[in-house]
Amino acid sequence: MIRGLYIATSGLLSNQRMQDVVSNNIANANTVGFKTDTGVFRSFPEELLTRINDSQGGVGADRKTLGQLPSGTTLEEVLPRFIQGGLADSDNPHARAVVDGPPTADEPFRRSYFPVSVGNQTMYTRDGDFKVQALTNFLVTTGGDVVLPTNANGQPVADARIRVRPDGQYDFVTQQGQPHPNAAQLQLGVVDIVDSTQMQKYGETYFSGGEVAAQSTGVIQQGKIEQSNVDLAQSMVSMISVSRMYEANQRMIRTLDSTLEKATSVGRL
Amino acid sequence: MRSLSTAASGMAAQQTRLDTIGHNLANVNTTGFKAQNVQFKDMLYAQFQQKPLVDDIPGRVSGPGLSIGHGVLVNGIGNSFAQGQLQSTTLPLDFALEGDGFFTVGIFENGVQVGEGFTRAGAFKIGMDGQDAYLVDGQGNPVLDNQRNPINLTGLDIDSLQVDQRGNIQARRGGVLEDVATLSVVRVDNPETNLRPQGVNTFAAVEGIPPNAIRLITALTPAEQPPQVRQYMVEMSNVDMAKSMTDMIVAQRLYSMNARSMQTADQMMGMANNLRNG
Repeated sequence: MIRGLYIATSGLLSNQRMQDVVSNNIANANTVGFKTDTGVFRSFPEELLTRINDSQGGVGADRKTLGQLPSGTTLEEVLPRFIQGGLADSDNPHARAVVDGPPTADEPFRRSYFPVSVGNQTMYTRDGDFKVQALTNFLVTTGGDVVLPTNANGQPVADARIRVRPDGQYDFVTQQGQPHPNAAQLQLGVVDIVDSTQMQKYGETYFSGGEVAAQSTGVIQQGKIEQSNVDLAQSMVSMISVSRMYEANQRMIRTLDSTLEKATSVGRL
Repeated sequence: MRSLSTAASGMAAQQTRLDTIGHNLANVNTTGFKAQNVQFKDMLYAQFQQKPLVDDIPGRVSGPGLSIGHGVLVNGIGNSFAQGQLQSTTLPLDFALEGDGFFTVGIFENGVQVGEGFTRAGAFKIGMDGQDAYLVDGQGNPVLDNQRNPINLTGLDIDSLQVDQRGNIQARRGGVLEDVATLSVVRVDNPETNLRPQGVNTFAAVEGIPPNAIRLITALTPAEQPPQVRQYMVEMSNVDMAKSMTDMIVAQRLYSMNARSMQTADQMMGMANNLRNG
């Protein structure tokens, strides 16, 4: 019964985390390029109970299996849903949106992203609400991180920058602003990540990690931005369900508690 | 429980958005007004460490680690420099720009010029300085000519004033048509980044931008499509009323959604507090 208390507590904790996930989705229902998160619950491995110290044979002899006992639940993983967000028109002349190529059966989570240089690391984003950095005229994200060009094979080129000319055309230059040796092969493009589920959310709608595919399949649309793909109705339903599950677990604890109270009052008059 | 602060960040963000929409709607009739928009970003994610063991769990899709977000932050408020509609008027000092460009005005503090401002609000007026009449904008800042000097209109017949597409002003003085000045109309590259709002409908250049980012239209090639000056016209606000109203409804609904998630978190904490009694 004491074990039951802990099992119910694990239900409380994982629902609490689930509520964190849902409220983060709701808070970002308007964030350009945001991908909604889903929480995956998982039961802890079941424990096999055996009887030892049997009266017949002593410790270890003739173990008898009593049965399996579950031991609660945990929020095992948080998976972004990578479905395409709706495209919205934008006044921003530098706005871009990615439209994923057709999905394939063997690579269901292959998606296209804009490569961005954050610190010294290449990260990936779906937020194409770009602007031009003051002074350098490099194309940057709204967070001010430079957008990397891609080469003809859809690979990010970390040592190149996209410089916006006054007429809106792009020059491909080095970090110091000199013409890039491979400028002719560079473009403002997208890279494909073979399995998007292997990426980690970094914040600022950036994803890190993930294996870059040999070719990109996504298509860029100019003058559009990809809206958040949060489904508010779904979020509301999750929230209600989380709250009720939490309540049920709380009831469970109270029931166990009152039962234990009976046990402690055995023999008391 | 971080859900409370996550929801609070969402409410704050929607509040900022509502403020901006309100500002835009209030200026739906302001000459030369440029709509503002808010950009959001999700906040850093908390990474919960998980043992590499999770690789072996059947059905698990992602790698080790559990990341849960902290909400949303307002990343910046930008201006949309899209062209507003031109409306014709009957006033000779109403100018509008068709195409990308700005009029230049002098910003004065205590009688000393402290800088230059850029505006598309071309409903100009006559401002008096002693006996001299100058062309000024709605706030009384002198409109500059292409030599960066105020435009002196003393003694001119204002009703006869004409401006051509390139900004050359002509007016009659005692019946004789004379050249007065040429308006300083400039093209600013990437105004979204290179300009910052300064006061009423006027923008100032961001510190340190290269001088060639701001060029007179006379320096532009025809391929760069220099803006044209239109007299007897003003540029209306570029606020899209229908879109603003829709955005307002969305912002309001999202605000209450966030409030709801805060309420849920609160109820859950209440339940935890009442584990023992009640």
